[in-house]
Amino acid sequence: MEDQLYTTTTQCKTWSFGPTTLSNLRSATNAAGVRSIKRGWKRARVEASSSTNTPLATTPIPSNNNTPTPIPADPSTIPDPEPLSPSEELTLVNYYMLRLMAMSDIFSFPSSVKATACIFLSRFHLHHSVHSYHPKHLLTTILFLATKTENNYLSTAEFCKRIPKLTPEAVLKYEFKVAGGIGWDFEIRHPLRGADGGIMELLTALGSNSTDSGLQTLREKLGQNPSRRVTDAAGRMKGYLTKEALVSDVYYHYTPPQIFLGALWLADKELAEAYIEWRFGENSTMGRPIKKKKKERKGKDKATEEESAAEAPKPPTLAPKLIPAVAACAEMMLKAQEYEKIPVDVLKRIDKKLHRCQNPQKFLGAGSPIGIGNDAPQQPKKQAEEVPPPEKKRKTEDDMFGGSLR
Amino acid sequence: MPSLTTSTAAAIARARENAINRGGDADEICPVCKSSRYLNPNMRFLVNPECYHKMCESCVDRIFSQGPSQCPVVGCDKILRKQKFRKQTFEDIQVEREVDVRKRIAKTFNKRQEDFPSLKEFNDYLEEVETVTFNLLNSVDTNATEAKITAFEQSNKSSILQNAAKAAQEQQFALAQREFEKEHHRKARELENEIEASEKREKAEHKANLLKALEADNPDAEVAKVNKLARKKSSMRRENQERRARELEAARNAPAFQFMSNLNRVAEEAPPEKYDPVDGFDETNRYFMYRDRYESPWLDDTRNNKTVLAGGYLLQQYYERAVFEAFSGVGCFIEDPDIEAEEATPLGSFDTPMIDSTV
Repeated sequence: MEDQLYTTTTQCKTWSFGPTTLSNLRSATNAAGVRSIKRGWKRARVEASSSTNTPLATTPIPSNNNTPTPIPADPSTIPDPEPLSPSEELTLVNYYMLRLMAMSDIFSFPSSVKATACIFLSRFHLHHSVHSYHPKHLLTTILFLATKTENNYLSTAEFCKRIPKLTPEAVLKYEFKVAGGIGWDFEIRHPLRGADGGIMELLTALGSNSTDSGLQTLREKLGQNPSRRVTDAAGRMKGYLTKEALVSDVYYHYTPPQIFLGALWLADKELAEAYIEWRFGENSTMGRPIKKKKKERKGKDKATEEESAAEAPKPPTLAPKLIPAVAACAEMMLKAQEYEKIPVDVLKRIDKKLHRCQNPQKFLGAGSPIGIGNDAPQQPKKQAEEVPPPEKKRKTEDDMFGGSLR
Repeated sequence: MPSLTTSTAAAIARARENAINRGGDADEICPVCKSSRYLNPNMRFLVNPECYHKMCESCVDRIFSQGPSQCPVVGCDKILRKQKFRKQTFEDIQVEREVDVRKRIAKTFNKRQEDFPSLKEFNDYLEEVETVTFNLLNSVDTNATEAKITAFEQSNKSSILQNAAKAAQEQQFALAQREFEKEHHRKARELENEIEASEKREKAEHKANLLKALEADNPDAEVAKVNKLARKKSSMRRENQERRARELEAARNAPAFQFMSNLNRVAEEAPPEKYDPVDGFDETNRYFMYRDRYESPWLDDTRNNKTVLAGGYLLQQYYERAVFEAFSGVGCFIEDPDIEAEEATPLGSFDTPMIDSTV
């Protein structure tokens, strides 16, 4: 029943992909974004050429653009901007995901809100290129949406108080777009609660005085103090689940229990392996209490007949298939740690590229910004504080009484 | 009013009809000659199934006795015949028309369920018939529909005739059976009346005998004799009645009419396959079994915390949910090619760069 139920979720039906499908999807989205950038620049070029031909035209440049733009001699000599590659897009999205986590920590939201917000962002940008939707404009919207989804509702006013210079309008402006962008699939199956349940079950089994042979071997493998070891591993596992699991693509490639096992694998490889062997291995009792098993042994024929009649036939052994999957999942999560180490100047370079793509008017002297959020009047200012060193950002965010009043 | 264009004429006709309807005296005034029932209490209204315009009998006589003529209602150019005029059955003219159309359709499309190999095909046929009827009623591609009807008629000539004959036969049988039932009821009633009368008579006789016996010298013996006689008579009578009732019942189930009782019975079909409301959903848990209690250090406080439990929080539910989620989907491997092939189709549906609309 468990697998059957999972296959009915939207996470399984619409948001699970094989690796090639996922990368194809990403490059298709990137191509669409690039197309829109090219279109915008073409239009800007046409406008620029028409405005240079008639120098007396009154307002060739958008009036809200208050930085003096050096009007080039000939717009046609300026090359088209270099668009972002799919991997660059992913880097940018992942960086903003880390920002989103930091933002969630300011509010001290529960980990489920954090996780949901991150997955929302990831899923949104799976189908919408950052060329068209810069993630910086969506962060607060997504976090707010996640609080509502995870039953942790804050009013917009309350929400805006904690982040300087944030207005309810800005939060709600793109809410519909984001909700539509994630296909209205608000419910996300996180491995968090499942991990909790799995550890709970494991601890209970270890604590019981059953004589299951599989459990005995598990105990042997875990050494002196099995419960202690499991608790320690669980703590580390939770850390992986609330960070690496979100930043990487494991949510698209694996089911929640597999992600949970993957995180456990990272936390304590030996434990995870032994656990999978015990639960899903050859002689697994599938977590059934040993009492039943004993009874089965005593009245051999009758009991076994009853047992097999009452219960579903045993599924084929899962472990040989599960272990490689979990290992791959763990590896994928481990790789995600690299995103944290990406130097700031690389991110800056990417963002500069994106900025150039999105704002042809600054380079051609005509045309209009491309993508959402770029039409706000105070846009240059925003741009300036856009990729500050993390420490500076943290300072403003940690201000106890919020930002200064406007 | 020959100078009027058809559209204005139609509008006037509609306006007049509305006025008549609003006044609530549609039954009282003939729309053609405007004579009212007040002056002519025997006035009858007739309609012609050609166009369903209502007019009084005298108008029909006046206009159509010379032969076919145009409908006198303004804007209606149907040629009507006197022969076709009839009394309106239903108050609503739309219903009248629908009944006519359905009658006509039923004459052509008279297939039965036994003509089809399966129920589904029969249902499809019924739907087809209903579509044709709807089209005729609401004048949706009338020409095509008429052509369809004619084609059907052509191709199913023999079966239509057969079915019509069958229907007529059935009707005859039904009629005969009804007659028979009536007769049977009459006989039964007669028998009952007879029984009642004889009972009454016997009672009176018995009473008279009793009185006579009391007058005699030895009343006790006489009374006993009379009573015995009465008992014997009544038992004889009862026997007689029972026999007649049995005969009547036997006549009712006579073999001559046996087949008719089978006539309306639906043929017994194989019982349909058992309906599974959950569509094969299996409720058993494959990977685990719930326990009553799990060891969880951070939940131990909750277990004894009355402030939490008083609110109706069930720790057991959290256990179940958590353990369930720990294994829900563990056996699904997303990289399986068949799943991937399924999922490869809806790509790109979300891809809507909305640049032009937002800027």
